[in-house]
Formats: sequence, C-alpha cells, structure tokens
Amino acid sequence: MSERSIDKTPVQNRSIMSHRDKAERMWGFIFVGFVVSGILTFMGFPLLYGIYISFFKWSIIGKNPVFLGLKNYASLLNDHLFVQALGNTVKYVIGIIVFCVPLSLLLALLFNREMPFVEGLKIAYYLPVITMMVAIAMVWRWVLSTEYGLLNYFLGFLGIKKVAWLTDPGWAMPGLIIMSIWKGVGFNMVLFLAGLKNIPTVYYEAADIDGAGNLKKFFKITLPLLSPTTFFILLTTVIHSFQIFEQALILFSGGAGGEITGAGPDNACNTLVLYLYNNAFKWQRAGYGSAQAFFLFIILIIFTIIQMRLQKRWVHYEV
Amino acid sequence: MKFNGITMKRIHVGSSLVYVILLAGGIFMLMPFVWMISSSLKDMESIFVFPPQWIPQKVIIKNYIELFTNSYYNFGRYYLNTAIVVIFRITGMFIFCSMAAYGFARLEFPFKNVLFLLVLATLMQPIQVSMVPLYFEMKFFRWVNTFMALVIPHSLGCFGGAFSIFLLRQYFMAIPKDLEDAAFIDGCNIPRTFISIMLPQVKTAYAALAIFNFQSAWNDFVWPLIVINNPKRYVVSLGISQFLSDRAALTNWPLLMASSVLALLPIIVVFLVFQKYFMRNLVMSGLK
Amino acid sequence: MRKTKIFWSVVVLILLLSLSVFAAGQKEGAVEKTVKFAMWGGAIEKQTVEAYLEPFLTRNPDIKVEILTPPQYWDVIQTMVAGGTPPDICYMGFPEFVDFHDKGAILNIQKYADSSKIFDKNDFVPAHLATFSDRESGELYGVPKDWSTYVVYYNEDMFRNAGLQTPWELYEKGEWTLDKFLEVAGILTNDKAHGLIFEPGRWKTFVPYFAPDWIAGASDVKVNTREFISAIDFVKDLSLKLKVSPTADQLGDISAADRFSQQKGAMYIIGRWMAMRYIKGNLPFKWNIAPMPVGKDGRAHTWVDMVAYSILDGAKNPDIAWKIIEYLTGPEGQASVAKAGHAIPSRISVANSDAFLKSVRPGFHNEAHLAIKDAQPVLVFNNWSRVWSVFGSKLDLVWTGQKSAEEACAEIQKEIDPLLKE
Repeated sequence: MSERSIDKTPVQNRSIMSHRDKAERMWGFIFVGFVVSGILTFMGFPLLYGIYISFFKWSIIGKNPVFLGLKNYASLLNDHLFVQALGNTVKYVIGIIVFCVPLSLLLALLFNREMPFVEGLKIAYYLPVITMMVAIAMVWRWVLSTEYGLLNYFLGFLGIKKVAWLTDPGWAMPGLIIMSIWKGVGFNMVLFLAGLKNIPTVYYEAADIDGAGNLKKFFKITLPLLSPTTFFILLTTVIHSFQIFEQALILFSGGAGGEITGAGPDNACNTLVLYLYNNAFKWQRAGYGSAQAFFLFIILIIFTIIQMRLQKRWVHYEV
Repeated sequence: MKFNGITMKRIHVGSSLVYVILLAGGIFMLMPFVWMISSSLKDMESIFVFPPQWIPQKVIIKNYIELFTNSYYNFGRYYLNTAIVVIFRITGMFIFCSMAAYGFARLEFPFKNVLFLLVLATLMQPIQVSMVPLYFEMKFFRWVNTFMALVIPHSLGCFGGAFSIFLLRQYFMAIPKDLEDAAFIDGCNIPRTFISIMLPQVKTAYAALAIFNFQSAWNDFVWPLIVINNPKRYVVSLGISQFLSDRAALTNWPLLMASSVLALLPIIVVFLVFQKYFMRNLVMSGLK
Repeated sequence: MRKTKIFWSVVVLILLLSLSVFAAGQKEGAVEKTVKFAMWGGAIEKQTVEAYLEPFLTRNPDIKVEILTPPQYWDVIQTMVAGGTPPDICYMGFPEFVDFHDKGAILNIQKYADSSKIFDKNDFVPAHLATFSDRESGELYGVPKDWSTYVVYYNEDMFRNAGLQTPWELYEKGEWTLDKFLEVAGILTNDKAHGLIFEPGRWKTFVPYFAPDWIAGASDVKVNTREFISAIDFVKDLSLKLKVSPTADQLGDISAADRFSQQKGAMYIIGRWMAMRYIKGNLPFKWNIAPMPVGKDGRAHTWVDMVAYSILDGAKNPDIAWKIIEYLTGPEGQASVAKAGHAIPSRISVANSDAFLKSVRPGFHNEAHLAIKDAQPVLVFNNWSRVWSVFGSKLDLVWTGQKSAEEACAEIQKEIDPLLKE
C-alpha cells in the first residue's frame, strides 16, 4: 500500500506521457477487470444478498421471510451472547497479535543465519500451516487435555499446575490461541524471514563502523526496514483472526455428549463467525446471522482504512 | 546477502544456544504429527491407550491398504481431482492475479484505490454467510458438481485470492520505475511491457505464491463442501471428512489419521521441492 | 510479441474452457430420473444402505439412486433446500425435524401412506410416528427408519471377579434399582477403573427419574425447580462427590467409549448404536447390555434417539422416493436393519422377530420391547437447538464444579424463557 500507487507517475516526457495516460487508463481497467468482475460476481452478489436478508427474519430453509427493518441490527447490542462473542473475538485477535506476530519475528531472527540442517528445521515450523484442521484438531484435543495432555506435561517441568484448557472458561481461549499460534506461526515466520533477508547488508556494515550494538541495530535498522512486511502481516493477520471459526468449532464440538456448538465452556470461545454460523445454520436465524456478518465486515473495512492511513507514520517503503 | 551484521557476530557466540532453542521448538511443533503417524498405524482399540504409545506395539498398515483398495474411499480419485483443481487454479491465479496486481501497482486509472479496497474487502467476508447465495449462483451457472466452481472464482481472486494479488502488488511496486520507463520510450505498449519486462522481474515470487495457493487449494474445505456432492468429484479434504462420524464415538480415528497422513504427503513433497525457491526467492525480490 | 500472443491465447483458452463446461453442466442437469438420497455417516453408511437397497433395485431396474453423504450434513442439506435442489430423500433427525417442518421444508406424505399397501401404521410405535407428524393435523412427514434407546453396557468379567451379580441378573430378579446401581458402581470403583462411565453431557437420561414433567409444554420448560436441580446434582455427584464416574476432564483425556473398551469402567450408559463398534472391535472381555435401572417411581427411564426418512419439499421425484421409503421401512427393508443389529427396527413385528433378537448374540436384544414400554415419548419445545445450547454452555460449568446446580439452573431458566416464548 505504497503512496506510489496514489501519487501520479512522475512525468518526464509530456507528449509520450499524455498518450500513455490514456493507454494506462484503458489497460488499467482491462488488467484489473477480470478480477474485479469475478469479485463482483462471487463476492459482491453474496454481500448484497446478505445485506438484503439482514433486514428480514429469515431462515435458510424457510419460505416466508418477515421484514424487520433494522431490528436485527438493534438486537445485536442487546444480545449478550453477541457482545460476548465480540469480546472473545477481540481477545483472540489481541492474543494473536501480541504473541504470534512477535514470536514469528523472533523465530525469523533466529533462523536468519547459516546453520546445518536449518532448512529442515524450518519445515518443522511450517508443517502445521499446511495441515488440514480437521485432522489436527483431534490431535490437539489430546495435546490440551488436562490429565495426560502434552502441554500440561511440558508445563509440569516448569512447576506449573495442571490447567484445564478445554473445560475451564478462563483457560479455553488461551488454549485456542496456543493452538492457533502453533498452526500459524510458521506462515508469518516465512514472510518475516523474506523481509529480513531483503535488508541490504550495507546498512549493518555502516552501523558496525559506527560501533552500534546489536540492540541498537535491531531498533534503528531492522525494525524500520522491516516495516512494509510487518504492515502486510499485521493487516492480513487481523483480518484473518477476526474470522476465527474452524479451530473453535472443531476443538470444542463433540465433547462429552453435549450439544455441538463449538462455543467452548460457558461460551468462552464463542467467536463472531462461530456465532453467526450457529445462528444461520443451527438456529434458523439467517437474517440475524447476516446482520452480524455485515457488522463484522464494516469493522474490518474501517480497521483496514485506518491502517492504510496510519501506515504513512510508521511504514518505510524507501530502501 | 546471507550474512548481515548481526548474524556474523552471533554465529560464534550464541549459535549453539539458538540452535538448541530452535530444535526444541521444532520438536514441539512436530509432536502432534508424530502422534498422527503413530495413530494411523494402530487399530481402533489401541489408539487411546494411556500412557500413549509413541511407537505402536504392533504396526498395522491395513488402514492405508483399506484407503486405496476399498472402492468407497477411492483416494486415488481424490488425489487426481485435487491435482486438476490445483493446477488450473494456480494457472488461473498466475494469469489473472498478476494482471490485476500489476494494474494496481503500476497503472494509473480512475477509482484505483476504491477498486483495490474492494479486492481487500473480499478477505473480510466470512464465507459461512455467503454459502446460500453462492449456491444460487453456482446453480445458475450450472457449475454445481463441476470443477469450474472450484477453479474459476479462485482464479479471479475470490475466496482468499486477494492475498495473492496483495502480495504480488507489493512485489511489482519494488521494481525500479526506470526499467518500465525505458521500455515505454522504446515504444513498448503496456501489455507487452507487462509480459516481457515486468513478469520476468517477479517470476521469483511465483514459487512462493504457488506454494501458498497449492496449500490453500489442497486444504480448501468449505467451498467444495457447498458445490460438490458427487463423490466422483470429491477433493481430498472432502474425502477425509467422510471419516468423521456425526456420532463422534463412531469416528474411525486410525483411518482418519491414515487419510490425513496421505493428504499431507503430497503437500510436503511439493514443499520440499519448491522450498529452495520458495525461501530463496522470497528473498531475492522481497516484500516492499 | 510472441510472448504476448501466447499469453492472450491462454486467456482465451481458459474462457472457452469455462464455456464448454457450461454446456457440460447443462447436459448433466437433464438427467432427472435418479433419486437423490442424502444421509450422514459417510462411506460406511453408504455401503450399508446400498446393501439394503440392492434387492429393490434389482427388481426395479428403471430406478436409479444416487447416494449423497455430505460432510457437515445439515449445512449442505439446508443450502440445497434453499437453492431449490433438495435431495429427494434425506435422513431426518429428531430435533431438526421440528425446524424443517416448521419452515415447511418437508413434504406431507400422508396421502402416500394412506394409499400404500406396504406401509402399515399399526406396526409402528404410535409415539414414533407422532414424532414425525404435524402436531395439530397429525399428518405424516417422515417414516421412522430405526431407533435406539440408552442402555447400560456392562463388563461381565469385572462383575464376576468382584463376586457381584450382573445388572442383567439383578434386573431379572427385579432388584435393578437406582440405589443398587449406585451401590455396585461404588463397589467396582478402584484406582484402575470406575464403576460407571457416564458422560455428564447426556444428563437428559437421568432427568425423568427426578423431574418427569420438566417439559410441560412447547413454551414451558421447568428448569429452576427442586426436582430438576436434584437431577443435575445427581449427575454431578456421580463424578464429583461419589467419584464412581470419570470427571469431564478425565473424559476429555480418554473418551467414554474407549474407557469401556479398555476396561477402565465396569458400566457404561450409552445408546444401543455403540454395540456396533464393540462387536466389530472384538473386545477381550465378556460384555452385555441391560436396561436402565428402576427409579423411585418404580419405572425405568430411557431416552430415545430416532431417525426417519423424509421427502423434502421440492423433490424432483417424490413418487419414486416414496417407493424407496416404503421398501426400506417395509418388512423386507427392516429385516436388513434387523440383521445389522445395532439399532432397533422401527417395525414392531421385525423388532420382535428372531432376525433382530438373535442378530448380535442370543439374549442380547431381548429387552427391545421392554425399552419400548419405558421409552419417553420425544418431547418438543420451541427453539429446540438454541435452548439446548444454553443448557450445554451453563451445565458444562456444573460438571467441572465451577458452578452450583442451583445457580446454573436459575441462569438457564432466565435465559431460555424468552427463547421459549419467541
């Protein structure tokens, strides 16, 4: 999201350029046209449809929707489950941003050196990213289980008491975040690694001559020059994390005979998308679910626009 | 390139410590997989024994044999279908997403920023609420139970394809402007500049994108779930989920684990083959 | 220039390809003679039903059946219904039936049933047919496929080794009471195994023992009562106070079904369907099933799980679909259900025949009719699944001891009342 895309191309040769401006217009539309028409068809129509049904009391299988006006939106704020889901989702997003992103940066920094078998090690970190959730959630139920779980086993070495990750409402969300970090840390790590390797060594050489310490180099060179990557990662991670769904559904459904909503103990892992999914497909309230989806959409759009504005202050594109 | 100021010094001092940390972390990351593989070699009754057996007492490979021989599973078919989808999707993505990325990065036209926000907005719409209207559309196009449904929308940047456009756009923006200007002054028109000058500049990015897209196509579940209900057109992710029973107690875990291992194998192979390019080439052109 | 040409020809080629598939799709749409039959349970279920259908399809070579086994069954079915291409026949579970029927998504099959020579409503348990009928008009919307009750599985070896009479023997003597049940569970609990395995999430099994009238009407569910609370306390105490059953945490570590097969529990309360797995698994010990114990009111209570075949509204071939349902729920089709042995055939005559009673091993199923007597008619209330999820999320905290039953029940009542009135 560089400013270059917003600023006009610097003009060098007027006669060629004005002709080029016209050509650019035409080709610009053609080049993005395929994708934009695809998006309008496959994402635009469903979005409009969703907004439309959000004004109705609507069931997916029902035949007679009832017009409600803005009632679905009004009831969002009175619905304590929705407010809770919003809170849970924000907790999750913050958890991922605070733990997963710095951890992936740390890993990238550690990996950014020549070591034997380092490529093989990288694959170990990347494997979870490419694994299907369905299969791995089962394994994770075992990792997080209280009595014999792998995680509690390791924590035991540190003298930490057994934690009921799957049944304690206070620990269910941290458990979910830990699983998501395991699943996603490799992805961001690879992106950070690419960003790191792309920083020209001359900067560090210059800093060496000045006698700068490692910490200073990190804050004065690495972090600023890495900012375009960091920006990309933060933006996509937030958008992605706000839509956390599958992990919770699989991890917390099919417990000890209870109903399957995947919301976790006392709804502690009821996230926005999970809640709207349950509304639309389990509880016959597709109109209400659509209102939630649109609400989420607006949050994310606003967030993205703010991010794109704010990036001027901290993202350095010029290398 | 490989060594920057920080790493040169640390190699001698902290390298072994770093190595130990990374190794321990790596083992933790791999632990669930080891368990997955070991479970796939057990039978129903010994899978949940405590303490867990990392190495099965008696190794059973009948789970794998069953996956390939029982005509109700047909893993060969799922592989083939998924491969078709993946190949077309990646080809389509290369063509259409790089065109769009180039447009957004380098061409000037009205509403560019709005349109780009539109592309990004596709990442913000949870597919769960779009399932029904999308099914309408697929029915309208007569794409239900066809590969078209699995290929076309993704090729056109929908359902996460925007990620590729965003990433490619960052790459295109990193190319020095002079290169392009020189081509224009030489009389190259825009499509020609794009194909013969710009595309070769970012070709390194494609290894990374191929892996990202391969992985997302391979693991895609919700979308095929809506549009494919004919087992002949099942992709791997749908094939696997057949082992999950609604009554959780009846789920055949060893078979599910075996099928997950099988589902993971191709992607690991692809990753190993490409990862050299993948890691290196991300580096060469970088993210700007 | 060559590169440009190659590039554009690839673009054109792809567009043409998509057009060609348009055409292919149209052809596919023309074949409408096949009946689409949707079910859950994946490849195994498909295999089973295909075997049921084989004799029928050989006799009717013009009928073709396409079996769909979508993962995430209900999502896909709802989407297909909304898209106007519902499967002709589908498995219909009980709570889902309420929603589907309320929204008018299921075809009324009363007229088919009336004119049928095979369908005989007197051969079904009336409460079962009522479950899948309209509550006011009584017209039929689904034919029960088979059903299942909760029973007590027990590890006979464990009882013998402890010198105890088995639940079955106690039952035959008329001594199989709730107190006796708790007593043997206590005796059989030691550091290696629990006397009982009961998943607290299946609390509904024990509620009728304490609060038989907890569902007083479609909009009247009484949770905040002494009776209901004592039922919840009973379930909670099994694991937290008496410690005869594993806790929710322990069940998370090793599932209930696996605990029984690994001899970590002497008794296990679950539906009959589990027998299928244990028979296949060749358990290394002697096991059997017994009815639920008799409560203070002198009756045993159990919970019924039921599945029906329904035809969806908008089905392309309802007539052929009915023929298939008629066959599957007729004497011949039910005989194959009986042979499988895990669920009770919905035809009373078949359930009472040797085909079913001897299917697993002699003596295994001969309590099928008894279960009919004790089975609760399936109870309906408004907003079933939402209300149910409130129960789930609140009671989870009771099972782990983080909340008292009183507190939880008061909260549940407060939350479900508006839902029930909606």
